[in-house]
Amino acid sequence: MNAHDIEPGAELDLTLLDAQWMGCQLRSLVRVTSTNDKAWEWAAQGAPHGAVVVAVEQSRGRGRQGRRWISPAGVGLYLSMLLRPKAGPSIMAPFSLVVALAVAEQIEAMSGASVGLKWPNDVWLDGRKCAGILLESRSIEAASSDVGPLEGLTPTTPEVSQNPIVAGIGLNVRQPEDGWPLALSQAVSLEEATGLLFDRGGFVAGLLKRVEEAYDLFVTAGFGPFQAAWQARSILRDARVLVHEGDHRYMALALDLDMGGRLRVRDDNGQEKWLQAAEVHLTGTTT
Amino acid sequence: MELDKIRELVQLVEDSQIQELELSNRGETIRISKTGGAHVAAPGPQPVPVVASPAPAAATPAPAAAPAGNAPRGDNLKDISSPMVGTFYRSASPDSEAFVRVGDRVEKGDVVCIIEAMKVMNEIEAEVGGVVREITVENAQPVEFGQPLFLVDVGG
Repeated sequence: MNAHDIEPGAELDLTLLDAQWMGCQLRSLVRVTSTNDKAWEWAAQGAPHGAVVVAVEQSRGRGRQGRRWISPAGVGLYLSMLLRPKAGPSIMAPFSLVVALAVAEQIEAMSGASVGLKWPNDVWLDGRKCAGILLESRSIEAASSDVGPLEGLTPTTPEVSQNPIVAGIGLNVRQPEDGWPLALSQAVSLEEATGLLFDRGGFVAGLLKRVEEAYDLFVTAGFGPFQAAWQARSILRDARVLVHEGDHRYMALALDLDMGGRLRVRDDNGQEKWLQAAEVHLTGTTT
Repeated sequence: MELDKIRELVQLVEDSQIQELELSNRGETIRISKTGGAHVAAPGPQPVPVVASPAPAAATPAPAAAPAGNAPRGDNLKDISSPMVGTFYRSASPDSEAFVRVGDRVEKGDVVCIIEAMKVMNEIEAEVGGVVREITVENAQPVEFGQPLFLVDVGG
């Protein structure tokens, strides 16, 4: 095991953590506004590539376009990873899908469950959503500070990058005691879906290792090496979907993914399109 | 060279995979480039700057050549364009204030919008400082790589 600089807070057992650089500095917190917010604050102070924030409760968890991610105590696991890639945001975009695949594989490894992925990066179990992922890229001036990498834990990419990324994951581990709010009828927890108890610390350790390996492969080879594994889990394959592209909404048949992680759909006029930025809903469902 | 002929040539370059085209005719040379730095090589009695997209600043003051598509604008107007394919958002969430409005002054490095692709929210910064004269894309609409998003008056 490598030395990791862990600030404990949330009672997570991270003794299994053995990633090389992911989690080289890790802040384990009980309650935060959102782990993405905490990761950005830390990034502005010079946090290194691979710095990780973990929490078990968020007061302002957020999803796409500021949507609220409900994160009550005892229900979830919230984790944000700071990455400082050399490549710009358009090249890094498919990494969003890669993170989802790593989450799916970690759930599978711990439970044997069959996990689905909904493009671009929702993780589904038992026909419902168990994890959401949100990546944010910003141009920030990394402050020169004394919270750089520890000796011997120099990150593999430069400390300062034009467009650092925070990759945030919200995972439903256990269902709320009084059930899911009505608005979350599509939500499910790992324990609900699998009937197993999940060790959150073990989950974090395994996930960080997977994301680290996936990142190192992605920055050299792109999305291609992940395409088949992703597609095998895609719940949209050959499904009827409602596509939102700005104001334009249309029904289509979802097909496959390309080497860049784009989703191919065929609309009712037989026109095929590769989607990069649309929202896609399974017909009759909202997510 | 006739203005119509130049328009035709600009269109030809725009519609093709050609990055740069240079033509000489009776001592007048014209070069059309998609990659910037478009200018007319001397010697020529009447230099005519010709610009395909994107529009770089003309090196020599000259009468407007007005090619189709990207007409030269006032020297002070600069685009902030999209660095990627995605969905354009003027604010961090539907309930929050827009990052910028027409008439606002922005400084280089200010966040002006978010472009989302594959659920990666990318904050886009102003490449230039000045006064926002126009927001050329509606909120939550798809944008292409290089598509102008804002017109900024750098002299404003």
